Amino acid sequence: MIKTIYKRFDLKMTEAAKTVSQSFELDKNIVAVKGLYLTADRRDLLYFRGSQRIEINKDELFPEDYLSELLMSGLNVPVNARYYDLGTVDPGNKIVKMDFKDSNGQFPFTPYTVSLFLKCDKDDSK
Amino acid sequence: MKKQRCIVKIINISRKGEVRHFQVKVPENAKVITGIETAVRMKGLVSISNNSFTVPNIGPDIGNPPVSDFSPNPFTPDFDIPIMRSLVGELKLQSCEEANVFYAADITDPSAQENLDRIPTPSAIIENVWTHGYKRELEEVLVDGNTTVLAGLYKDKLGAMQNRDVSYDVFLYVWYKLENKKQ
Repeated sequence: MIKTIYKRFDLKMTEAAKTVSQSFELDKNIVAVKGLYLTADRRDLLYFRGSQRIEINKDELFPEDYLSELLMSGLNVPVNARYYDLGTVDPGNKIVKMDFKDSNGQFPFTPYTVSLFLKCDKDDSK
Repeated sequence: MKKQRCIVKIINISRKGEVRHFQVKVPENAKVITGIETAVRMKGLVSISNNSFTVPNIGPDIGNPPVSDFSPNPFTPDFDIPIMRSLVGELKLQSCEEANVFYAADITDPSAQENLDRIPTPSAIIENVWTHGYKRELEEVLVDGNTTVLAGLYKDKLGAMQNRDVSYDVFLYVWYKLENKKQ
């Protein structure tokens, strides 16, 4: 039976104007990645300073310099519409890689944590 | 699975009324160009004199508004730019294989917060684009991917309106579908 689950992965930014790369591993019974949502404990810093490259199974979904603001949704967006629709992405080797870049911008830096949420299909029979 | 890729083009603007001509190279394996996304990022720090501010009176008169140190509010005069206009510039794109412009749009800065719902909230959650902003959507286009380059023109409006040099980057994202054989 296919079930929808939501996975959360965190990435800590501790230095200004740096790129942090991190790989996350999905559960082995995840059969598809359907959506993506980006947020942070300091959403203002994510909005004005963040950009990222994201790949799943070595397949680049978002290129370098893709601004974080394009993957964020605010309180005005209905809960069920907040995720960026990815269609159906094959998780393959189950590795999600994010290269997050902090750039000097309109807001001064303080350490913040970026959270990547993935909407996935899980097959319980696997 | 969506087999789509994205080309990123960053246009740097630093002078008022600046006009920039640019080209976006389209890869060989592009079959069709399917969407355009744009974003703006201002350069330079916004100075915030302190973190305390008064909630703007955005609804019915509720007496003295609460004071919060939750986050800075761009509508207070604590910022260098007290009035931000959302219109930043004008973008046009043309495929080199076809006549006429296929994409023309005003580039706006959502952080100017002109189109946020201004619902009065009893608590200190201030409407900001990073808390209440809408989800950004791809603007769909359908252009033959056989073209080798897209020709683009960007014209600054923000600096021209404020009659001063404003420095910012315009991010252009061109989404395209891959040729099936070359995946």
